[in-house]
Amino acid sequence: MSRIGILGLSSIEIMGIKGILIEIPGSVSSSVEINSYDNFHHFKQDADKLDLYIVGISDFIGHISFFMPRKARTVILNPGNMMEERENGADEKNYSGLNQIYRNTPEGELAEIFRALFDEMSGKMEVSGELSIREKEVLKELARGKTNKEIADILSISVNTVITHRKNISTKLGIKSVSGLSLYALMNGVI
Amino acid sequence: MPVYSRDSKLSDVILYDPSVIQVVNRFGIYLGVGDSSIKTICEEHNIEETLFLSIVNTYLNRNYFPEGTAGKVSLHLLIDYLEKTDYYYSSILLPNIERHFNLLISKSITNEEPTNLQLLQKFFIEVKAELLGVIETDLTHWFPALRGNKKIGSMEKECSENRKPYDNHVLEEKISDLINFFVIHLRGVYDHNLCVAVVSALVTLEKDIQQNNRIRDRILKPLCQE
Repeated sequence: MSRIGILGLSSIEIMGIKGILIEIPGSVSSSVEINSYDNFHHFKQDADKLDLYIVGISDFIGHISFFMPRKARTVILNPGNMMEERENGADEKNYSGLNQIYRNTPEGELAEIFRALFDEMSGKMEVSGELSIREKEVLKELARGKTNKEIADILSISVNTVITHRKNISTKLGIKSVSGLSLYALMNGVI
Repeated sequence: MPVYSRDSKLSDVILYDPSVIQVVNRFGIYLGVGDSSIKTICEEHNIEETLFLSIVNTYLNRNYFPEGTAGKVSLHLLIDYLEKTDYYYSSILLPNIERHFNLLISKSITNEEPTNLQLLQKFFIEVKAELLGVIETDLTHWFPALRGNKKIGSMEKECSENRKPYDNHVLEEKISDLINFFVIHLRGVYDHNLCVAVVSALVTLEKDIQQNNRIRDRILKPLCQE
């Protein structure tokens, strides 16, 4: 059972997120419990029992000292424009390493972000697992010497999602270095 | 995990974790230590006692932070120790792994080309070249500079993000990957005993590098700061 806590989002946004989670094939969505909170005090009381936090940007900024150490399991709902922020470099400069969903993040990428996070959550429980199709695609580009930014552009996903996929790949395979991952790709016919 | 003092018997330290034999060897102490205390053995071998205890305790105990070493520990003697550690890697451990690897491949030839083992050997050769490069930098650049009282802070500007005189996590990561390849991903037909010999030698190298990086971080770095 995975538990998701949603903080500071409107009812419509919560319904939308629930709809996306149900659509993710092969995810743990069937065993997900979603709790929504309208204030940080109540959210914080349950935080240790939650696997994933989905928070509005104002709550994130208002309680940044709480969320930053927990950024691996935090997804921020950002009302900004994804393309504008990426062009400005804000994606990498201001909130480096954070999982963000923008108001105009494409539907496919929304599912991708949640899928990568679910893979990460399940990866912690099961160290050696099969790579997903998307993870194999990331591994293939990595083995070809591409940077995170280049992989993000090739696969039309954000740099943060690439980083999450890389973490999941390393957890599943027990291999962290780029040289080691390239060797794995070669040995297993990924490239 | 115990913290040893000058009154501890060296034989107890070695029996607690025999891998520490390599550390005491670097001070010119070899097996057959009798039941003498560390204090007595240090006096007999003219070894700086504080340095010896700091190194042994830091090597054995991941939670140990030596205190009050400034002014008591000789930087030159510490660098002597680190040079001997580098020599141990380049002259003993790396050739040992390579010898086992060559034997393993010669005894495990299949029709597959190239075999997974050959690919792993290629990865080992990359790791070996990187470690030898690190040792070369230590011996020709960093250690002479530190002996000449150059401070770590000023040297950091010349370092890459991934390799500092007291931090080499990328190399540690690659050795760990190599071990994981054997443990998790090895496929095909191979000589089991020789495979264990390669993995054991890699684990020895990994452990020694990790523990000596701790010594660099917790003893060398504070001694060489501004």
